[in-house]
Amino acid sequence: MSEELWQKYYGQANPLYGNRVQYGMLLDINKCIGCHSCSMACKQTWTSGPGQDSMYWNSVATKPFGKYPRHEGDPKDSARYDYRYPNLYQDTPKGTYPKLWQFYLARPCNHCAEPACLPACPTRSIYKNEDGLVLIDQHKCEGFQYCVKACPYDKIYYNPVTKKSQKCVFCFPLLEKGQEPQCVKSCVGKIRVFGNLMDPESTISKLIRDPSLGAKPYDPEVGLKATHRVLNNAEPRQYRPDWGTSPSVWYVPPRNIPPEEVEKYFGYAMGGLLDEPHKPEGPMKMKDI
Amino acid sequence: MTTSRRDFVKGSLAALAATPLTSFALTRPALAALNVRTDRPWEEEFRNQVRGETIVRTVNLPNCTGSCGWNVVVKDGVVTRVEPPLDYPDDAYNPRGCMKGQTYHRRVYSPGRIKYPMKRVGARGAGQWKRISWDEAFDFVASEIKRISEKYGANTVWVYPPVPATGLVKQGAGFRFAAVNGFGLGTFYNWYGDLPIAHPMTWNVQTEEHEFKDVLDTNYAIIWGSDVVQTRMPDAHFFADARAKGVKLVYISPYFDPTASWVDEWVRVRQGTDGALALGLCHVVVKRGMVDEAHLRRTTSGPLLVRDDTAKYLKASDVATDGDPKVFMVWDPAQRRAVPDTYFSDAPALTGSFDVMLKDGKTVRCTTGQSLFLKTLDDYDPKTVSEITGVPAETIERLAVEYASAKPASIWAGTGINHWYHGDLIGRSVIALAMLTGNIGRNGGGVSPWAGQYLMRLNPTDYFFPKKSPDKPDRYAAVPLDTAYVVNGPTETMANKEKLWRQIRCIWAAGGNLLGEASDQSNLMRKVLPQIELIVSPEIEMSTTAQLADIILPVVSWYELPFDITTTPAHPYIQLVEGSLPPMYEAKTDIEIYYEVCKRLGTGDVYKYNHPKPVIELLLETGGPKVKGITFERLQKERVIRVNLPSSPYASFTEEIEGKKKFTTASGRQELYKDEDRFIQFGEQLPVHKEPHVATPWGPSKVWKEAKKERNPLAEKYPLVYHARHTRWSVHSSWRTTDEILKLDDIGQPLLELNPADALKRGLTAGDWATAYNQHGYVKARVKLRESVPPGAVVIYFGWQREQIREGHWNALTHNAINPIHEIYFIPNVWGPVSGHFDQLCEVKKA
Repeated sequence: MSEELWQKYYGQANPLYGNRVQYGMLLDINKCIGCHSCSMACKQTWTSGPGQDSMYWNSVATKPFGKYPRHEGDPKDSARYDYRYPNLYQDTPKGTYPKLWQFYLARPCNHCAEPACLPACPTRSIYKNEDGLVLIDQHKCEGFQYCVKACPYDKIYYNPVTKKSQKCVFCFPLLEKGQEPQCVKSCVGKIRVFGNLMDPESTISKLIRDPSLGAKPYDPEVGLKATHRVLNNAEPRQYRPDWGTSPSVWYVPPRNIPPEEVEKYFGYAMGGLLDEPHKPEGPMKMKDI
Repeated sequence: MTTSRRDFVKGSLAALAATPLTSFALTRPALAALNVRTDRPWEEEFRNQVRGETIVRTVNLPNCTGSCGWNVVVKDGVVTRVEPPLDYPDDAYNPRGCMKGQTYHRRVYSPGRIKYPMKRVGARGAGQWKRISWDEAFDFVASEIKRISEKYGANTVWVYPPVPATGLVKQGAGFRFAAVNGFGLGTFYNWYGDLPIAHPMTWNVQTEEHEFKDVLDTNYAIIWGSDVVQTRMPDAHFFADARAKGVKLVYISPYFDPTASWVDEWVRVRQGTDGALALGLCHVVVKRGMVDEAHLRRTTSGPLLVRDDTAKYLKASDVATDGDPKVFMVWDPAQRRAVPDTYFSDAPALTGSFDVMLKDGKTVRCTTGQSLFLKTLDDYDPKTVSEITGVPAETIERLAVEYASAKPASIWAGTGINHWYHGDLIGRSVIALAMLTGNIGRNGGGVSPWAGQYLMRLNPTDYFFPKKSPDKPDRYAAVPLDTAYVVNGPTETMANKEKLWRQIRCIWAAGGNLLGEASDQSNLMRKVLPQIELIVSPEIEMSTTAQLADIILPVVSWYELPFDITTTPAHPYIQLVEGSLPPMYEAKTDIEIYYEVCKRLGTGDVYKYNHPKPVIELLLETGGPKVKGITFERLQKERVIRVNLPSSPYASFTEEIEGKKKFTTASGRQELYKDEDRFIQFGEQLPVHKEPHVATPWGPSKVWKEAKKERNPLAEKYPLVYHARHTRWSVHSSWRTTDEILKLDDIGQPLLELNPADALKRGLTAGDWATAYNQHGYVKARVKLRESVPPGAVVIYFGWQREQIREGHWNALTHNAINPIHEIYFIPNVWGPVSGHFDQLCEVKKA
């Protein structure tokens, strides 16, 4: 991202919601080992309660075939979302020998600058807080699930026991204690960098503006116990930015997949088509589960 | 971020609300929602979730080599979660630990926890148990052991040993238990197939490996047959970090594993032919003149003279009557005669054949080890190797040049190339490549396996095998009964049958899930188990072994242990383990259980310890130079301390390669050439490629020239190579039944993974039930189709417990034929039969 573009998007307060801090993440997909430590750290901290059995605020899937949640039929009919088997088709590559490819895509909530879920809420329970986090007020939510349908990333989950919609909170109670979110802290592949996208001095904003910095380990960020990470030197992109919500989670796209596939996942101009690319078909299909 | 920063933001936000905003923003209802609502009491509920917690820093102790520290978070007496403590002194090791460590508390509170001692009342495995008291349990076990000892001898009571470094006190307690009572003691490192026996053969060490962090010093890395992404999760990032800085990573494997999708180049090799590929690379290195001759001449068996008539090394005693039979000879071109070898000398001839006058006046032709190796390499031109391995000849040429020109270049050769009948030859071939290019003994080079948590960074002898009296050197010793023989039965070629073979009668399954995990399951169940009169299973959860045991003793989980210490080859730290919970149910620590049984066997005074603390003090006191200066008090304070090592990051053989000291082999050099009789008998003095013993379509166990003329009759019947492999979702069978983990492992069941082409031939589609079978046994599971598996192979990720498999067992298809080369010596866990369970064929049919 050029300095100019960064200034445009992050150099000023969010024009819609006024936040002057926007926490975000940068994930280097080339380093991801698909271990799901992020999902598990999140789950053990926030979603091990009633109604949250198949709820992974942070999920990892082997692309292109893996998908969480999977849906059949109308992609916007949340009643047909299937949250079971969140890691189906793990390690199933596309192509034929010797041209096989796959990559792990770890996805927390994007805490978008222009969240699609927020205006969809009929009870105005969703808000963007002063740190740029998109949160659902669990007291006000009445479980209409418009947000579940509105989020193009499928990152809002309906809890049938509490009858509320729930989502990733970027571990705000831990942020307030001076810690990084659980998925960042436990990332054993060291692929994640967390920080304030709007702070010109933060590591993450520097890395997004100048990817060549990624080749060097960096010092722990003041206040946040970031541990040293080395990222691949490539232009960071957002996942499906064509949905137009300005996601705050950035990725260093995978080097090992065909460039046109990178465009499908991380490109603009509807590169990824309207639904997720690559639905599993033919002999891939698991029966009777 | 601190509270003060938060207040600051709140303040600025209030200021923002007070001052007029842009009209654009004010029209948005969402902004109103943000600003109007100052109190958001629901947030407080989330904050409360992480308040009032106490944190205990401990280490998880599975046998995955990770040895990862964890902060256990306890709230109201319950472990709610664990977090990485981020406290390794070298920040490169932070964070450590994967999703399995994160869910250990799910196992502490697992519904499968064993709550109290239980005695079998029905048939074995029928699941009918009677709850008994600890006293009854101890009395029963002790009286049965006494009875068996009297009837068959004490060494028929057999302790299946734990992997000691995973918890020196609790695991070592099993060794001490076997020692003080004179019981039989099994092996673990060679039995699992983790021992790279090429290491003791070449260097006379158990295993040598560089510290993981040393990957950052390399210029080129070959990951050889080890799926690091799945099986070395805490340290895999070192490879990714190196790659981000421009170092090329190559992965050699038959399968498109996660690691293959993650490196710069994946080389698909036919199963079990890695040795041929390594020799092919050596061939190119030699042909292109990229050999590091100084390294070979100074430190390897290259210049040593070998007699053409006997194929044995020429010794000083062959040449002169007063010559020392332990002294090896080299050819001195200046004096034109054979002279005794001096380590690190630049004088001897590296290649050539010479006539040497023996002491009896006869002349014998002698050739240097290097010349013999070069002759061997003639058979491995890229075209032939391509025929054997399926790797294109151009790729072999290119890889060899890349590897040889990128000094230092490293090889990470895990257990994938080890679990073969001819794993020793494969390992030696790989080492030969590193030797030829001078990549041994340098930071950023080396051949490192990093498999198995065998490495204790201190000398535990005084604890494991206590002295009989303080002033005499005599020690209590267990009888080493190799696990491979216990399961397989004795062989004609074994090193010392009289001493090393006993029909065992009692199994104390201290070291893990023997009956659930052992390869050669069919043999174990049909032949071995009926001979066993007592199976004792000290366990945490209801494993397969516990289900098949006669008596189950509940053991505390790692979070209930008072203390322990642990080390690993993966990182250089010794760490303190400390419990965060009181013992649950009626569970006791291992050391207490052993002590109580010893007391009833009359050896309680010798066993002495029933609490870990004095043991840790003993271990650190008597542990030797690596733990000098480390005390229990220091460990309690610092939790994680680097042991004393000669270099940082640690690299093997640095002193030897600089000529500061010799290797500990007979010749004092790296021995690529071996001259024990059996090596000569099998034509394996130098590394060669032999076809796999079973898993080949060609002549089994033959060199290529002969093998390609034959067909393996077994392969006509069973055309698929069968591999039961490690997965990211379990450490062997640990965590296999953990709910949270199972949910993320595909469909949470065993899966037979095939190439779609093979499935099509057999009329199978994904999700079908199928049976994989061969002459040994079978397993039934659903089919998964992946292009990652090459045609002609079946992969099943392993570790499933008895109740999770519909029929058969994933290890019922394996059988470990014992390679006589592995039996030349017997040193427990250093030189013994290495499991070759990858060397197996099967067929799959629709169930």
